[in-house]
Amino acid sequence: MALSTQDSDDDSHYVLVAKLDNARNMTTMLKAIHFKDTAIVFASENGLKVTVEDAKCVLANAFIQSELFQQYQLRVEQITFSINLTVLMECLNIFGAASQPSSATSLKMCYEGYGHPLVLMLEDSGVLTDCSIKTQESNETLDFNFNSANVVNKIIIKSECLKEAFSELDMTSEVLEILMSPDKPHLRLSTFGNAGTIQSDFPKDSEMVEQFLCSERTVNRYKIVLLKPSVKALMVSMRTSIRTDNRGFLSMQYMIKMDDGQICFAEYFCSPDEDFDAS
Amino acid sequence: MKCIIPGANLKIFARAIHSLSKIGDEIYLEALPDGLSMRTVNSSRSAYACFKFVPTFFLKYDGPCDTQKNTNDSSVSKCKITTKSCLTVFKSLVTLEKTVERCRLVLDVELDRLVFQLHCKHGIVKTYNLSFIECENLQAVFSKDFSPNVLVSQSRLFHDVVANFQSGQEEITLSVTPERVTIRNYIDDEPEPQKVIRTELSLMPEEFENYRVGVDTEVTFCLKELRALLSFSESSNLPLSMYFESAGRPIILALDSDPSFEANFVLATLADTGTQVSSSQQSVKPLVSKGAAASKKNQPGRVKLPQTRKPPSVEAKTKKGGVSLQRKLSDTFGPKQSSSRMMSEFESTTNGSETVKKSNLDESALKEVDIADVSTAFEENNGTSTSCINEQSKNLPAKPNEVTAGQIGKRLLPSASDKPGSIVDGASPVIPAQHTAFEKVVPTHSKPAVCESNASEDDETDDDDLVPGTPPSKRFRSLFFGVSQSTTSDSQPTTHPPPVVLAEDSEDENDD
Repeated sequence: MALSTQDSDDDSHYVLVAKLDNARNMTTMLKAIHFKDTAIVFASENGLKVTVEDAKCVLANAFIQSELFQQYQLRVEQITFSINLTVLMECLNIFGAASQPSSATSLKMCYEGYGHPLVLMLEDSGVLTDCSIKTQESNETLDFNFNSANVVNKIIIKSECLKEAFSELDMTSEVLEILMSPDKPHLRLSTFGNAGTIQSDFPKDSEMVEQFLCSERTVNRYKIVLLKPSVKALMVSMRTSIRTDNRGFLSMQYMIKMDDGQICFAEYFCSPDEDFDAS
Repeated sequence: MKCIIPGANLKIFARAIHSLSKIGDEIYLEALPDGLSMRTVNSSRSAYACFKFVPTFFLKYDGPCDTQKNTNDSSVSKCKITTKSCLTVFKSLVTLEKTVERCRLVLDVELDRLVFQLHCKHGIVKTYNLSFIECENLQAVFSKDFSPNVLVSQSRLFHDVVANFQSGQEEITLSVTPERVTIRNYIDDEPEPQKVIRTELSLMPEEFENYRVGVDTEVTFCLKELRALLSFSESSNLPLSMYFESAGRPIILALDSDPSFEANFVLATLADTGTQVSSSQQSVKPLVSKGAAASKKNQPGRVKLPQTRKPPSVEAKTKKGGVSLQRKLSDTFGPKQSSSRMMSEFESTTNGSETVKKSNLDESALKEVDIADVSTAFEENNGTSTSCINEQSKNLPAKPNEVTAGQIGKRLLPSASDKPGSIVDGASPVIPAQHTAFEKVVPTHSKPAVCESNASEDDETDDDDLVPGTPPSKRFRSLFFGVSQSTTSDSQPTTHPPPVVLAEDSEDENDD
């Protein structure tokens, strides 16, 4: 049940008010990018963008568009704040992580502005919970400057086949090498671990590959520990788009379907592993 | 070596690898003209497992003769690979079953890699290039045909039997008579034997597909290896055969009904009550003939427990009377031969002649060293075997409770302080003579027979010197001690809890 009893006048001092009938939609998206404690929330008229970054090398975004919310009110152009994502997840899951269609937890999120905590009101089967989470100033967000214009190769593939490859990645290997080429092998994921070299080849004519746009052969290596968290998003996604740009930066975008059929996106950016010995 | 496994058989192949990984750390692959064999042996060389797949198991099978002309043909068709590497390929059985259409296995000598190529659905190909090690043959010599005792049944039956035992149970004892077979857990040296759960169940011959008992016997072997084999066979519910003879002789568990593959697990069994180590054989004879009076005083330190550790079997023997005594005598000598033979059987000649090609894991290289070291350690540690036996003697006070027959009791007491072999002697008290014998022989640790004597300070010192920091891990000890037959002469030595050994020492001093 939505919190319809709340008087909208009371919300006048809130800069951001967002209501969601099923909090699970939000938890699914946040779980997909939850690999660090701190997240930056960026709210605009389009919706919420939650960003998590690590080691200045990997960045993850979860987009929760305003259409997903039953009510989305933003009194300013945009606001940004940093928050402890672990705590936020715990609060959102306060009624238990398992969800039944009959008793969905509804959520009302309020934010007064700079310096104020994020207020959450969760209701499940008549039980109401109030949460107030301290917010922090957001640091400079990392910007990889990944332009669509600079994309060299792009592959859209069904997540099903990638799930297995990524979850069985040989973690004794330091890097994951991604090869994309117009010739065979079209997409190859390689690891170099203690057991030996393991390669997974995906041909472009496979029915799993939905789109294959490769202009040149690129081989890039990424630190496997940085990419491992992306498996979280991969597991809940239906489709994945893998793109690399001219600098070797990797962008993986995941299309995630919500319980009610709505689509949300999460994306991971990762910087390539460079060898500095040559120069 | 080059072969292609169809998707349908891949599950069997993967299960075989999982099963082998539970036994040993390395798999010896060999492509023979009559099939591909995968063998492994455990670290204490007390269990050997072999899976053999005939050429019809594969879609395509190129034996050793078909491989590329290389300098040394034998090096092309066999190799050794760590089970860990193998498991990375066949990790998830469920996924393998669902997605893999076929698996191509190639031993690529030029690249020095063993290549597993899984062709999955939707055109996806997964290639695993694993490093391998060159090796010599791992061969076990065993014969199923001459086993007097054979039990054959669906693996489901054995699985149900094994499920009754606690998961931590190390060894079980299988006793057969023409009327029934009894399986019970084997109690190793325990500080409080009275508090140990005992499990026993009996099966009638009717439950088995084939039940042949030529020699009434009792064999004790490691449960872990049986479980490993059952994990492979229970899904397909193949008939499992057990071939065995008597305590000390190896027991062979075989799946030989399926035409496309064959599995053989050869396990060492605990030597009979008389002897725990082959070295005892030499000392048994003179002591038996001595017939010295047994000291009635119950000296825990003097107690030679190996036989008393198994009161049930002792009881069984008394039922049979003299015949069993005779048999005991032969048994005591029997195991020695078998144990030494087991040793040679399992010799993979890796110690000297192995070249580590590209050992992917350092531990693989270390493993070779370890085996060699362990073997030599066993030679050196002959002296410590007795200390092991002696520490079991601590249990003697508890044991007599289990003994009911007077004859047994009589036999136990003297044997308590006897050398293991002396149980054969029945009621003849042997202790004092042994005591002197031990004292005499103790200093000269060189011969294994000598070391069979009570643990002396020297023995213990040796033990302490050789293994200064032995962790007091019972489990480790029982693994060696419990299945000591197949290892080199003495298997107990290296792993005694130091505190027990020290206690032994003080008693010796008292006696002196």
